[in-house]
Amino acid sequence: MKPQKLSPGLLTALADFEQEGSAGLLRHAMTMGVVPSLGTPKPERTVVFIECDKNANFDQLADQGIIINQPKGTMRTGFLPLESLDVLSDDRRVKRIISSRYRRTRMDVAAARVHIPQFRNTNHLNGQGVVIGIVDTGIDPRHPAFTGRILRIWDQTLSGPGVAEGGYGLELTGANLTASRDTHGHGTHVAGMATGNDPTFGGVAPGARIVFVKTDFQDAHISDGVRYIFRVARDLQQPAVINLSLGGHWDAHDGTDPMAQIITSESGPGRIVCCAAGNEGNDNIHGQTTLTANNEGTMRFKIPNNSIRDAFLNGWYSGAAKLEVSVRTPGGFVTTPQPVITTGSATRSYNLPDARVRVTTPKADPANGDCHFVIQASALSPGAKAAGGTWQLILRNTSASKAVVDVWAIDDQNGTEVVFTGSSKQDSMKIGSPGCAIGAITCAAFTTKKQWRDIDGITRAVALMLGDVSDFSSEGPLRNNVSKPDVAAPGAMIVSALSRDSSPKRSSMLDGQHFVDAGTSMATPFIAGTVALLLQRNPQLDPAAVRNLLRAAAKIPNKAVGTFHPKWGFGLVDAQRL
Amino acid sequence: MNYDKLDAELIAELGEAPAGADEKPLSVFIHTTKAPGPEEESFLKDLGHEGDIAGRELFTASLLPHAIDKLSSQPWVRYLKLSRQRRPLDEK
Repeated sequence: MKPQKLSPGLLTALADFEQEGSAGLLRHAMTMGVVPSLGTPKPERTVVFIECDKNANFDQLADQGIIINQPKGTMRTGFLPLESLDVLSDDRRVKRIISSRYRRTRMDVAAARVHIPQFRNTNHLNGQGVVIGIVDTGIDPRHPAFTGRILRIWDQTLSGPGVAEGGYGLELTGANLTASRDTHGHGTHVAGMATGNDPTFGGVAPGARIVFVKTDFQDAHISDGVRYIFRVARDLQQPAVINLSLGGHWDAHDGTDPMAQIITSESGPGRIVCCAAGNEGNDNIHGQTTLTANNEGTMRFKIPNNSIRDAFLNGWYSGAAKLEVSVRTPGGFVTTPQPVITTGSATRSYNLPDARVRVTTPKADPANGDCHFVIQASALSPGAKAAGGTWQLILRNTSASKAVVDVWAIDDQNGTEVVFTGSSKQDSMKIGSPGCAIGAITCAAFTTKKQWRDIDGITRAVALMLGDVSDFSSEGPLRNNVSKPDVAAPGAMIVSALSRDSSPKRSSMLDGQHFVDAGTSMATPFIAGTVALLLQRNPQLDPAAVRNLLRAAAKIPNKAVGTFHPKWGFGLVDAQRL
Repeated sequence: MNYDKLDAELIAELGEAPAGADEKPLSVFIHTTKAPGPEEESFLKDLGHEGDIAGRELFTASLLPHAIDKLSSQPWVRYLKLSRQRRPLDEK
């Protein structure tokens, strides 16, 4: 070992590791690129910079587990077991080995941008005494950011007797928490933002306790998860805020769908739900047309070639209007105009030469009194891809007054491949459920960072406008003109906790414990964490009071406080004004 | 089946479902006219419903199509809606 070649940070970490083992390394994992083994068969590893001879070939060091990412150069990056520092430092071609910590200090801008640290310090708040509930892809219970603070996980994807709110899934506590895994990584990232305890990439409310629901993403089960978290918090006699960084467009976009209704009815004093607005700001998933009395109109939509098995249109219009619905395929074939069907099943299938189309036109929805139709476009043979090309939705207004029709395109991929084209496409009303829940706080995303250095030392960048609302953030208002989103918060690019069971792209990883991601998914836990701080200050705050506080602390640049914009909501929240 | 109480997605889904023994359970929301009493709870349990619904008019269940058929004809059932898949909202 040539300790003189090691940077001071690396030497300190090494000394702590030699004295205390993995536990000694844990404190450094927060601030530099070291990865404790924490019970896994892998050794403790570290990410380093290596200053060396320009043309030195280190291939033979692979036997020692040393991975050097570049074949040439005087400054390279590497990943190696701590014990291999000995061999590497002894190599005469190596001049210096430097820890990777300084690349990790550059992402801690999101919280500072909205003055979270000042708000916490001034008011002595950290979320203690508050439950943060999260319904998501899972959480890595072994991540040091959550040590000792996860009370329960209801894993809806595991077999078991379930909980009071639903007889399915398995509830885990204590040492059994590790039976639940987050192989996707989204939920762990979200949890890290809301409540992660990490000196560099810490969450907003690191003193809160966590109740997690790993969901299968059925909205019925998400709703059960909301009720479960509030029940657990009630049993603990603690206030709770729930984070829902999820969504979709199978609803009326007015807060009357069952999941939105349950969220609104379960919310109350000390029970707050925060929801993501959605990421369809750049996607033409919404079309709108106004039909005058006894007139016909068309809405064009495009299905990509060889991509989608089933494309769906989810349409809504006033229950006072009368419409007939038909579909024209790319080959020019048309279904029979179909009015609301009042007896028997309201679904009809049409086998056309180039497609199979199912049209469902039931009577008005009892939840909002509006009429609803669903179109499903598929290939003629099961499992094949739907015909690609330009399709038309043909709507005929048979009533004596005008009718406004809103339609959302949904597909079996991620909901953004089938899009409207032509004059019917609308950059509005793209907030689906649960973001449209009237009782929820709905969050838009703001960009605080667009560059980072990945685990390989490569600078990565995305084409977002710094200091602006993120272009992907979905626009409101709701279909019934309710002002949503409520507020914006940092949502791009955000560094947070990395689940060890997930496999993000290396370009997104900063080290073995953190990765960068973006979305209104990331803005939502920022607000959920902030709400946890507010609930610590006043456990009786209800959704209206929280909304008023957040809106009053928010502002759109160059606009007066209280100005609403469909993309910004009431603007970026500044915690110093809470 | 009382189709008047089913939403468009559930009607379409049931249209797809083959009749008979191979039918698969569907996740649904059940909205009732009032919170179910012991009689209604017993009816739901017989259909395979699990979970605590005390005091609630809107709750979830996983039911086979024939159970949805029976439930839709009950006067205390206001409507039934199909549960749909949601997804995480990051940009990955």
